[in-house]
Amino acid sequence: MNQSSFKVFKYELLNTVRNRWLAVCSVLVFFVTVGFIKVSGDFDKALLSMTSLSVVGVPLVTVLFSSLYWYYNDRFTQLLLTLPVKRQTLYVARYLSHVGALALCWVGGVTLGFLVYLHFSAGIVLLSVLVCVLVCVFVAITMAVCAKVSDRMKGMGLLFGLWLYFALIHDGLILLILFALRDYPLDSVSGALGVLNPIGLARVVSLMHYESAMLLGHAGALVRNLLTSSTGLVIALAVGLVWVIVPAVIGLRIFQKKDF
Amino acid sequence: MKILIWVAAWVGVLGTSLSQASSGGPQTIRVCPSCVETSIRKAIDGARAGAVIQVSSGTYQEEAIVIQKSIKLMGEDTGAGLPVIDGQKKVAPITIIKTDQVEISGFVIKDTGSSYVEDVAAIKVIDSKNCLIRHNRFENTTFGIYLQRAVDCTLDDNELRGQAKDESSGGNGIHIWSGSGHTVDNNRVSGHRDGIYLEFVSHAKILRNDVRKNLRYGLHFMQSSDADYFSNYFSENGSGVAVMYSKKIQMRDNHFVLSSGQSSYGLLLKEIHDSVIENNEFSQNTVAIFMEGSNRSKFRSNRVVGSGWALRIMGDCEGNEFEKNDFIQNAFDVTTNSSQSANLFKGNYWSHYSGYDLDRNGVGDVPYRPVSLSSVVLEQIDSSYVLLNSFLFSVLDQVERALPSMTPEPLKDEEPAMAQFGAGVRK
Amino acid sequence: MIRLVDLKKSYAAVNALNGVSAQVKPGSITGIVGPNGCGKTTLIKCILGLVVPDQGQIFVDGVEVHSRGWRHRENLGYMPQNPEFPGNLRVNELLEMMADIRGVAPQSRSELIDRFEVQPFLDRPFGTLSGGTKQKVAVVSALMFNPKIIILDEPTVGLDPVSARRFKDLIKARAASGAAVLLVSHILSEMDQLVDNMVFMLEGRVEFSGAASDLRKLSEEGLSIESAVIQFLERREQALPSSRKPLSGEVRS
Repeated sequence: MNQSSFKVFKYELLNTVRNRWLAVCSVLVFFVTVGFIKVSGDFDKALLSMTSLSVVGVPLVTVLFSSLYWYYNDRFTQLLLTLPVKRQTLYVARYLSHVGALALCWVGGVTLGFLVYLHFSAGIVLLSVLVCVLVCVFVAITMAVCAKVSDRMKGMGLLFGLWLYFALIHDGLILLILFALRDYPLDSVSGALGVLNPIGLARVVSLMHYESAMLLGHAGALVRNLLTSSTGLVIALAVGLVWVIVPAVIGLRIFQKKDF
Repeated sequence: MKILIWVAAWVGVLGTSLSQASSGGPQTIRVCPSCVETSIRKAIDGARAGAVIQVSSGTYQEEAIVIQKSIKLMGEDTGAGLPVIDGQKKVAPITIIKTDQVEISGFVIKDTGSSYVEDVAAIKVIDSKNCLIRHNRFENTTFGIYLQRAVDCTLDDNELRGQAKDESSGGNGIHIWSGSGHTVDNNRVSGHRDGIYLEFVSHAKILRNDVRKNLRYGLHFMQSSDADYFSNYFSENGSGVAVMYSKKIQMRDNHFVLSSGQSSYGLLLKEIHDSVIENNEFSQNTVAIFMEGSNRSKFRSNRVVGSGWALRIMGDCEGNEFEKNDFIQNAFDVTTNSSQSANLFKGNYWSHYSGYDLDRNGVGDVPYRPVSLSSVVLEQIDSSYVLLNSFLFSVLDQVERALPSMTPEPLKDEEPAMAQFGAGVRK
Repeated sequence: MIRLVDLKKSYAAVNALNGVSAQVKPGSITGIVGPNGCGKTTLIKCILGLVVPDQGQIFVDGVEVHSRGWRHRENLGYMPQNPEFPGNLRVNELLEMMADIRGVAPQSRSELIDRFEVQPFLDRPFGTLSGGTKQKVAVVSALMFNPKIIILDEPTVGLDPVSARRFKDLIKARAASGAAVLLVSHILSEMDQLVDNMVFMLEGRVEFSGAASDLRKLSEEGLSIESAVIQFLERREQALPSSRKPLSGEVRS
């Protein structure tokens, strides 16, 4: 990163971090975490609940925040581009600052929630990693959609639809397929279909970590097989990378050709 | 008359002292590496019924010892630890045949032979009564203690550490086949195929045993009715505990923990009738309780926590009652393979219950349905495992609880408790 | 200087630019006029690099502007129609940010702040400023580097008369000291006072390009650009069948 890229990054980050909603979200995450710990009285269970929530919540917050920021700062974006700033620089800077700010907001809220109780565990690290991956993926998707769709309502509607798809509909379709083809052994097929979706991927990875997966007998064993087998791991990694790189590259391409 | 009694008593004393080599008590034979008698086997050969054979520290490599008279075989730590009977991986060290009142205590018995044809045990008791085996340690034995058609034996404070490699070549720690009235108390069993095994045994008392890390079942019993299982600790056994084809079983204050694996059960009940399962603790099991063909049993005040499935009850179970149990943080509470249920769930605590208690009487105002839709889906379609913990499943579960369609309508707890009972093993 | 060669750009079915060629010379002010939707804004955006033309070439200081280029903006000061900066940034921070990103010390910052009386607002968040003050801040930010090329989109809209006057004087002075100025405005009277050269655009084409004095001669009175332009449009309307009347009231921004 050269000097001017760094400056653009600095101001994008500053502008992002100053957003009040991000602070509100962080505080909310903190209180939800503390709430889970209080209600369950068990750090592992609280972490499991928090992970289940994060897997769905992080994409939603990311999509909302990042698209709102994009559309709200449309004019500012144009203004920055009348300065001697490369479009690519701006795009990358915005991507990184959003990823950084959102990941910090969520991970910080969760971690502080546990630190209040002087608790820290490997599960928190795993959750942090999953949150970071999800943020990376969904900021990339959001920015690509925003770059493509100039109309704010259309863009946000599309993004909400995408979130709904990844959080719910994709799994629903898998379930329908499995019901329709229930007589066939589809263990690995359903595994592959499941992790094709970034939210599904995060969920399956988190499942494997928690004891409940080990306890879930055959199903737990399938999850473990899926992700501990080398092909499974390669698939998971590849899917994660693809979900970051493809939307990011497509988004950047669109942004570079975009007419303001 | 008085004189007559006096004379008779003297004759009696005289006779006894004569028969006991004038030692003033029962015949005592000492065996030690530097004694006159260095072989336990020969000492037994030379002993009369009722003799006490005291064995000092040392290692005794002998051929198979067969006991056919009532003796006490007492190991003594004379400075170098308990005496060791070494089977050298070829013999079956001790066999008691058709002899009552035999006691074996204070030995280390190790390295028995092994065979695929017959069951080789460290101590085998056949057709005998009232044996007492206690304070022994068993190391690398195929079978540890083996009772065959024995009656009223007591196995107390033994430690059995097997090194079974696989189910087909391994033996059981305590193996009881046919008999009655045994007490198995305070033994520690690990590393065998089954920790404690009973078949065709009635009125057994299995108490305070600690059974861990056995390849198959921690406790495995079949056709053994009227048994009491109190205060045992079963942990990390390959498939948990399996009890089958018996009735009038009492299981109280036991721990069933850490049976996690593909087909692992905290407690598997198959055709168990009219039994009481009370105050037990089930923790971290794949399936905490599995029931098949079991009727009219009562489950009270058990604590079931952290399971994949807390209770899996098949459609052929009837008339069982579940009351005042705590079901805490289990991935799935109850699953079944039937759309009907003829069992009673009443007044249990379910941590997944999200109902309310407006009249503050401690009982939830809406029934709880412990069978979740996602568990039904998972049951029917293995490969839906990838959707575990998903938003989709939680949505479907909520909808299903409101409008049951795929889950058995009658299976519900009409009086779910709002707070835990603190059930489980009494502290 | 800026040179445009045969620029073409179409959005969906609309030809925003239909072969535009023009020049902006250093030391002069060039005005672009034309009805709404004639392609003025698109033209400016092409020069800035905000819009990528379908065809044609743009030279700034003799160097062709590449579709991903950004270097030419180093010497370019742009003032948008309705300036928007992040509302939570203070004016001071904003000006510092512009300087920081450009990596150049602003030579005439304090002079411009004085001239447009922005001093009292330096510590106010941009979002709380009135439209006129925002405009003034935009003037400062666009011109404080003494850019060689200045592009202004309706610069005096929202400015009070005094500031507008000061602004015009400033622009003239900048042109006199060698800057190439491109001005888009609806206020034709303002054009009269300022511009040396004119580009008159209609439906994505350049209808007139040359000295402002030549455009004035087109009118019957030969008095003002305003009357010349209006007469030009009226003549054209009569010549066209009614269905092809240029649409008014539609702005592509």
